Amino acid sequence: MGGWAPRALSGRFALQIAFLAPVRSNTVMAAPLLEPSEPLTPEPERPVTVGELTRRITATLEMEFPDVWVVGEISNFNRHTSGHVFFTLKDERAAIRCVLWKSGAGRLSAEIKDGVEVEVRGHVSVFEKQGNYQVYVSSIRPRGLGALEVAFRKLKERLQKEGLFDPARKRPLPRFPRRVGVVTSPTGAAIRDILKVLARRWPAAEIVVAAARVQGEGAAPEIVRGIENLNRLGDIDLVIVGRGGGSLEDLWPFNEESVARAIYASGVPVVSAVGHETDFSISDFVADVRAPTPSAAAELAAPDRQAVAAALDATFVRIARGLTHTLDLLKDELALFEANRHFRFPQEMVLARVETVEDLLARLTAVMRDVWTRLRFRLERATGGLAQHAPRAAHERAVGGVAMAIHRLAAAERTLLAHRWGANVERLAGRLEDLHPNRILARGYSRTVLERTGRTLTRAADARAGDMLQTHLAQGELASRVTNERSQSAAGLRPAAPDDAAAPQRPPGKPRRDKGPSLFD
Amino acid sequence: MAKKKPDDKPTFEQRLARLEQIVEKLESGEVGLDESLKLYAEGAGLIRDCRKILGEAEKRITKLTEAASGELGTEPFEPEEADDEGDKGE
Repeated sequence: MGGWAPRALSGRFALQIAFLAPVRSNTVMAAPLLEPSEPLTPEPERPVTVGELTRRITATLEMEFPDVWVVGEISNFNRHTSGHVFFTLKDERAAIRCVLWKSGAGRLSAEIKDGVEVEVRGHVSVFEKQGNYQVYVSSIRPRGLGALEVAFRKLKERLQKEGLFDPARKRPLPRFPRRVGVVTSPTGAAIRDILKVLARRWPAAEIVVAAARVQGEGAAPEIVRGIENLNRLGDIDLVIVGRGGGSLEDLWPFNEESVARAIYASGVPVVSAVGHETDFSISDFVADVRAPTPSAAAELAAPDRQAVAAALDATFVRIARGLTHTLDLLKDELALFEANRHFRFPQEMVLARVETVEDLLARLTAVMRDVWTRLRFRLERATGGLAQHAPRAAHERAVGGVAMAIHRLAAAERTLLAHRWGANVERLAGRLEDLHPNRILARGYSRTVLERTGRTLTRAADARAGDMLQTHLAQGELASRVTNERSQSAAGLRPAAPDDAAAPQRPPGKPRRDKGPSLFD
Repeated sequence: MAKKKPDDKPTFEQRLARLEQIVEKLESGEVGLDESLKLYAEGAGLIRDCRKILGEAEKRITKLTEAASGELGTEPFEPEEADDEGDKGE
C-alpha cells in the first residue's frame, strides 16, 4: 500500500460526522464569559487570582478557537481507564495536548496510535486545574481521508449522471445458480465466508474464483481483470465481487472508476460485497445487487436448499392429491354405473333372454305340432281317397304337396318371428347399448373377466396364476394370462420411492391389466 | 472463448416451472386417468431429479488461471488460512 495516506479510522465516512463531546460543562460554566476586548490592566493593589486569570484565558481561547481542524502526528497516546483518551498532537515546531472524551473515544479505531498523522476537529480550551490549554476533540481521522472523500463524492456524482447506477438496468440474480464466479483475494476472509455459505445453502453450485488483490496499489486492475475473465470464461451465472472489512484505504479499489466500469460492462449480474454493513463503495452502486457483507452476498446468490426441499415436498403432496382427486372423480362416475341394476344383477339380462328364447321355442313347437296335425290329417285323408282311385301317381302328388306346404309354413313362421320378435330384440339391444359403460371405458377403464368363472374380476385375489383374462376395452378386447397374484392394491399413490413413481406408467399398448379394476378398490 | 457446459439438461428453474404446470393440471381435475397417471409419474420424476440436485455433494471449486497467451483455464482451488486483507472477517 502506498504510504501517501495513513490508515483510516475504519473506512466509514459516517464517523466523520462530528460528535460533540460535553466539553463545555467544566470550562465555560465555571467562569462567566469576559469580553477579550477589555484587556486586563495591571493593578498592583488588587492582583487577580489565578482562578480569575485562568478563567479569562479560557474565555479568550474559547472565543478565538471554537471550532478548528488541526493536523499533526500523534504521540503520548493514552487511553485512560476512565475511557477518555489523551494524546499530544505535534509537528516539527510545536505540540498541543488533546482530549477525546469517552463518549467519542469508544468508536476510535485501533489505527489511531502514536506516530500516525491525523486530522483532528475540536475546540480549544483550558484544563484550569493544571493550566493546560488543549484541544477538546470532537472527531478524528487519518490524514488524507478528506481528499478521498471528495474523490468518492465526485466520482459517484459523475457515474450517477452517466447512468451507471440506473435502477432500471439492475438485473435479477438467477434463482438457482449453477456456476458462481467470485472476484476476491484467494486468501482473504471473504472467500472463506462465501465458500462456507454456498456449501451450506447450495452445494450444487460450482464456484470459480478469480483471484485478485483487493487492497493497495494494483488491486483495481486485478479486480477489473477478474470480472472480465469470468465473463470471457463464460457459462457463469453471476459474479460476486468483494472483500471483507477494512479501512477506507483498504476498500478504496472498489471506489475506482475502472472497477465500476468493469462491473457495468459485465454480461452477467454482479453482486458487490465490500467491507461491512456500513461501508458503501462505488461498486455497490453500480452492481446489480449490493450485499452488506461477503457472507450476505453468498446468501443472496443462492437459495437455501432446506427451503427448496420443503417446497418440493409441498409440491409432491399437491401432485399426489391432484391424482387422488382425479381418481375420486372417476370412481364416483364409475359408482353410478355400478349402481345400475343391470350391472349389479347381470344374470337378469341373461334370464330375460332365456325366457324369450324359451317362449319362442314353445310357440314354435306349438305351431309346428299344429301344422303337423293338420298335415297328417290331410295326408291320411288324401291317402284314403287315393287308395280308392289312382294309387301311385296321386300318392306322389300328395306327398309333393305336403313337402311344399311344410316349406311354406316354415317360411311363414320365419317371417312371423322376424316381425314379432325382431323388433323386440332390436329394442333390447338399443337399451343395452345405452347401459354400456363406453364413457368410462373411453376414459381408460377396462372391465376384466376371469375366464374360469366368467365373472367380472374385482379382486386380484380371485385370479390365480395361469388364469386367462378377457379385458374389455373401449375398443376391442384383449386376452391375457395372469403371471402372478399380487393382491396388493394399486401402486402409484405412495410417495415416491423412485421405482414406484414410474410404476403407474404402463408401457403403451401392453395389456398389463392383470389387476383389472384394482385402481379403484 | 466461451466454454459450453456439456449437459443440456433442463435447469432447476425449468424443472420447477414444469412441476408447477403439472400441479395445476392435476389440481384442475380435468385430465383423464391415463393423463393423470402420466403427469403424476412425470412430476414424481422431476421431484426426484430436483432432490438429487439438492443433495449433490459440494461441487468443484476452481481458480481461474490465465496463460500468457490469454488462454483461460481453471485449476483446483483450496482457500488458504493466511489472511492478507488485514480484516477481521465478518
